[in-house]
Amino acid sequence: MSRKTLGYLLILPSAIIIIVVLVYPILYSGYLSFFETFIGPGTLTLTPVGLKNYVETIRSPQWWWAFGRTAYFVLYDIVVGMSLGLGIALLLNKEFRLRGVARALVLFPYVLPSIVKALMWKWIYNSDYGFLNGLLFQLGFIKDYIPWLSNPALAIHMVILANIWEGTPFAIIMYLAALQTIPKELYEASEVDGATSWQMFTKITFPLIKPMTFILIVIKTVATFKVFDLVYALTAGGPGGSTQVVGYLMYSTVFDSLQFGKGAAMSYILLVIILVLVFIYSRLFQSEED
Amino acid sequence: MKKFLVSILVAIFSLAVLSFGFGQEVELNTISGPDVDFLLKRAQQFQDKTGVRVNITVVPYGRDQNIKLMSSFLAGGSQYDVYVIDCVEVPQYAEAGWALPIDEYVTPEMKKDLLPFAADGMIYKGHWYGLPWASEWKSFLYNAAMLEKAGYKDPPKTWTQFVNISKKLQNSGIVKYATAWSWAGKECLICDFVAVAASFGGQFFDEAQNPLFNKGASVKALQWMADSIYKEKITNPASIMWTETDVNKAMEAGDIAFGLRWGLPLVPLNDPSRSKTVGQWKIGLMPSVDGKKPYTVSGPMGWAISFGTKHKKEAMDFIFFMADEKGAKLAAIEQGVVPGWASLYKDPDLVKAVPQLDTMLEQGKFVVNRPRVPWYHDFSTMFAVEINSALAQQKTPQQALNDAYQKTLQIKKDYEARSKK
Repeated sequence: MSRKTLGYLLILPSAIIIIVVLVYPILYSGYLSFFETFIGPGTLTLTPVGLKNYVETIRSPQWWWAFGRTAYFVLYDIVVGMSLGLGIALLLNKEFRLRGVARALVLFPYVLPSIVKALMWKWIYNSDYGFLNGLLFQLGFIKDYIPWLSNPALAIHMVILANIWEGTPFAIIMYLAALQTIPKELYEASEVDGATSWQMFTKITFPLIKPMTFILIVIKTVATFKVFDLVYALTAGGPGGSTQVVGYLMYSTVFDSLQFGKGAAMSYILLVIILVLVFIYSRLFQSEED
Repeated sequence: MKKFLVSILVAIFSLAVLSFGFGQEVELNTISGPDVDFLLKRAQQFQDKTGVRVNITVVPYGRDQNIKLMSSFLAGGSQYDVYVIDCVEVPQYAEAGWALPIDEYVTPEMKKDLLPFAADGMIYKGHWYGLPWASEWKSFLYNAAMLEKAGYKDPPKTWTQFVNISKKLQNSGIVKYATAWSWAGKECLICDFVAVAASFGGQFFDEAQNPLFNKGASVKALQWMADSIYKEKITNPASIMWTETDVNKAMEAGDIAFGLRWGLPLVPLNDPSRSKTVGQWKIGLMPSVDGKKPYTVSGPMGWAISFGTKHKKEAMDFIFFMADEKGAKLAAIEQGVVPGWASLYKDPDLVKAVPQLDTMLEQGKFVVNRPRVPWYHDFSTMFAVEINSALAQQKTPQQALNDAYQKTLQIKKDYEARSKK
């Protein structure tokens, strides 16, 4: 048996798993997106409808509202989440006692299962017994307990807050890794030249971590556009649909309304939108580097 | 030597694979909402009796099981063998062939003893699709101890009295919010809306299953529900995200003075292992706009068998273990599940264990049903979100109901068009 054949044989089990778990569902959902599905007696009936699912989705105000909410999520996650992540990473990059413990603790939100995080936040936001109400009330910031998840304007921001708490550790780890690749000599030299901390940050740190910033923006855009489990556990898209993001809308379309084709079409439209965004990001970063 | 070792390994592997298929104990799979303690206990008793293990998947809200069930049905129906089916699900599941008819197991003696309302909930087009289990409606409860503290002996009969008593309770500092409801954008909200709308004299659907809810009294009912949160401020605002489980907990904790509850509500409320308000609650007739329409919503449920089960006999044994006369009596006494067997209501053990059974049965004369149509699942998903929007002040009640009306007509039309193909 040649080395090439042996190589193919060795990767065959993984390839089969990838094809079954990844490639086949992607292709099948693409196929389904051109059909209308109906649960008939004893079976699922597929009726070919061409691009109808795509057109209906693009024309649907509900889709664009959900998309707008999700984009709002992404904006917060990128601006606030990454800024926080960078700030904490800068702190953790300094030498101080128990730095190792601090670095381990900041990973805590990242390692918890998503559903555990969501249920934890559900209790934090509880309108009668929640920690957040208790804390703000004791500190005198509020006179009465607030039903955080029952107010449409507040609910979405509470979910965003939980999402930022969940996603920031990833930004911290990535930025910490990037910061540690910056040669210390650059800071030493600039210090000798009399540069302030702000100048060191803007002239040395920020430019050198730009590639990581680009990677994080792309990853956070993709990850946050898919947000689902937090919304499902905290608000189930309510109250009044005010936290219905595209991930939850797709889930509801497929599993509540049993419109598999339409749900598949939505996922492909989302894929195209995300690809366009990533293309725009890469162009922006490339032009800056040029 | 190498070939010998490889042969031994292959032999052991083959034996392991083969033995996996033989001598395997029969296991049944079912699915349940979060209040699962009683089911766990009964499943263990069933296993001790028959040797058949029952595995239970738990979902955070009872009706969330529908999504998992439907996914399993589309994949062949063998993932869950038995499940509790709601009366509103029977038409869809029957039309889709997801629930096995159990006609041959329902004897004439059983039919004679079953409450007509319980039996009707499980019958569709002349066939039985479930054995009646929780043959229930929502009862109106009031904390008599709290009302007495505020100077009231009797529960409210009208919604005006309800509001006034609620405000007195709140102003006296007895409770922060007099009441809470299960108004999350799910089936629980539809149940409460149907009950309140009927108590206002509103109609949900006509006999031809055409929607009527965007007119007159039903709109007033939804307006009243919204006003109870924002204008009268007697309903806990968190209600618009609560399911029945949250309301039940608030009642058991003594956080509210009024609430609706399924089943035999005084059984869990008087259980010291879960309630801090033992002996405080009483059942009253549902308040209404004029005191003359104490209507509530019905919701009979039954145990059903999946069409894809590979253990039909064991599945039948289990559903009869849970819901026959003996099983239903135990469930009533221990868990407060309303039995569908008429003879049980004369059983001295049940009468002794269930306080105010007579008042509960009086309420049972004033029940309204939700429509039993094959497109109910699509309708329910849409309708719950629309009325939740009104309660969240995203839309006015009239706008929400008008939007729901248009969408209902479309859902019905789409279903009928597809059914003809």
